[in-house]
Amino acid sequence: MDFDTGKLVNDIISALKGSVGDGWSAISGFAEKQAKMLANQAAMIAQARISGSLKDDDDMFEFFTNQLKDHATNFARSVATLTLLTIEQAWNAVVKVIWGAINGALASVKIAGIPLPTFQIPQG
Amino acid sequence: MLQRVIWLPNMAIAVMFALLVSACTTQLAPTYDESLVNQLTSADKQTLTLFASVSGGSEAAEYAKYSSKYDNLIGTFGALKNQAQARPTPPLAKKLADQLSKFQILKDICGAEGDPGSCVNSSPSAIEEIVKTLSKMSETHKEKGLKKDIVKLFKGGYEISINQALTVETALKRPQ
Repeated sequence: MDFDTGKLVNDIISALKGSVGDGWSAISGFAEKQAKMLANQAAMIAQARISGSLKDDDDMFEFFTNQLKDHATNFARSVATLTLLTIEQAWNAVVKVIWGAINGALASVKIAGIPLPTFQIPQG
Repeated sequence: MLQRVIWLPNMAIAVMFALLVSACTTQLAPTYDESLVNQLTSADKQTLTLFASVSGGSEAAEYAKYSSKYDNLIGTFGALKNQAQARPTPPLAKKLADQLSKFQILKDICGAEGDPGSCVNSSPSAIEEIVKTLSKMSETHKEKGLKKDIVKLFKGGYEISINQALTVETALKRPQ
């Protein structure tokens, strides 16, 4: 049987580093850019209310402040989707490496392999 | 669980091995839609062109010149929102969304409109915000014209939403 545990450990770590590293890099870059955009938008709204076109326009002021709240909610939703994507990629990468090693070892002695496990979500 | 040991010829082993490793990967986020990304990118260019053309402000009297551009963009983004919304949610992701929506804080963020899938498939709400922004801008332009600082505010709001939609949609393209 051909099963190198040390190599498998290294392969798992490499797979995790790749998938989680890429995912985290995408989320942190996105979060930083959004934080700057949201802060700039808040500053522009405040400036326009103090001395610009929103000074005497309550309707527009309300529109832009409500919209800022929607933007913050959508930002959180976007981070949630990107996080799920990172979990998905980490799970798939690790499972592929581990089950690939098991099936490789089984195949080397001509035994049928086992299918990849599915991600389980507990019932609440 | 006991695994049945089956002796197989080499070719069958090789085929089964390849199938077992490549199939059955878990999916928690929606499938990448290249057409959606391309159309969002194209609509973004047209919208930025509109913002550039009114960047110095524009009187209500000039609205007629821009009316069809607003209508076209609002219609385009509305259709793209529907396209993103209609995309099937992976069954596991749907189950996960239902579970997450049981927590109040996540319910507020992910299920505010009775759709716990908003955190699994976030782009439709970002694109919907673009439709709201352009609709309000069109209405304001028509009624009282656009001052320079108001255009900047609409553009700032638009850029936040398009960045959310394009970042998520592009990220959905999984590495091969």
